[in-house]
Amino acid sequence: MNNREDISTEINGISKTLGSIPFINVFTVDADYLPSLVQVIIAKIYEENSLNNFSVPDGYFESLAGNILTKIHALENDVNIELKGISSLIAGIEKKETYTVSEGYFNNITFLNNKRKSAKVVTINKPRLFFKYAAAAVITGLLGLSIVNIVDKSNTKNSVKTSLETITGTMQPNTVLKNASFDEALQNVSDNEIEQYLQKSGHDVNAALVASSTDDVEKLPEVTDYLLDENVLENYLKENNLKN
Amino acid sequence: MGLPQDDIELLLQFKDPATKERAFTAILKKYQEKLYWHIRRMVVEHEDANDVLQNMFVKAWKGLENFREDSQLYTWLYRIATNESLTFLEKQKKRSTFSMSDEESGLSNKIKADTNFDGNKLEWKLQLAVQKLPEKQKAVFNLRYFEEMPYAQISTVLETSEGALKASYHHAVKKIEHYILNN
Repeated sequence: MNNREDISTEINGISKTLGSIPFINVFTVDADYLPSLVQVIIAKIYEENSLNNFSVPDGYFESLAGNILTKIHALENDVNIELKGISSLIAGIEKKETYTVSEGYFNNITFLNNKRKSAKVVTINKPRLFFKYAAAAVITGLLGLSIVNIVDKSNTKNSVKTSLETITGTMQPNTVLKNASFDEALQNVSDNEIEQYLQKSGHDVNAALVASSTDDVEKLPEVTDYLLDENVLENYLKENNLKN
Repeated sequence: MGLPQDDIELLLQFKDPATKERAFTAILKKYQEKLYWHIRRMVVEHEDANDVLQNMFVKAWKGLENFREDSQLYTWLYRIATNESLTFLEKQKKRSTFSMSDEESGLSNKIKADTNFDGNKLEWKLQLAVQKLPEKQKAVFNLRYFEEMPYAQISTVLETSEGALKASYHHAVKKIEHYILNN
């Protein structure tokens, strides 16, 4: 430590003005302040140590890991960040599962899995042969009637040919009949049952009966065979928007 | 420069739980007054100086067990006191930005508010001039002018080279001279 004389010499070398100022402590303090300071400081040290070093709130360590993970997820989870940008109110709501399951539910999942039932197998029976013929006859008959109608309306050879090609090209009833394979069990169904089915399905029963009398697909009825009932033609035209 | 024998004894006693408090009390009694005045000249008001002094001794208590005996105890205590004072002034400056104007919260005004203040006396003008210095330069001036500390020890306290300290002290004296001559 330098003495006052050294400091004064140095400062005189820099500034005569400062060197001439008497070295006086202008500040004062109460006489009893410093003597009592030791007790004050020691008391403060013990107070701080007791607060900082030796106690933590109840349950602090139990919830510490959860709290830290929650904070990490809150920082890292893009969904949360996005939600905060949209609505801080909703983002502030704690994500808590509102639904509950009975106790031990998840333990029983293993048991259930072990006894898992096999899926129910539903057998689809092949269509009966009789019904095949009936359906084919209805379609073929309706096609034929539509051709007659077109011929009558246009009265030109070319337009008939074009219409015929168009319809038959699309439907190809003979091809459908040849390739389809139907279950002969259909033959066990009575005519009454088939009639009921056709009425329910909106098809003309007479047309179906005509078709059902045909055993060979190569011997399909003539077009005029289907002119038994004008309702057949009317219904078909209405369904296909061909009338007028 | 090694530790004085009494400081070595005190540090040994401090590391013994049975004598820890007694040793610290002795250290307090030995350095408290010097440190108080150093802090008081930095922060001006007694209440502030008291807060800073208590905080610095609390920190000294916590750090004393790890104190390295290759440095002197008193320069180590001065470093804590200076850093705590500078931190306090920095916080006060930030607070005043929001609550009070610089004029109201300025250290010069605190000096003028002292019951013994006499603006005609050079020693009071000197104190007003010191408060105009930048904080760290104020610390350099106070440690050298009032505490009469060698540059080598100021260098340890402020962690600044002796050359820089001498230059800083020189500039500080010139600024103070300029202030006194013009006020």
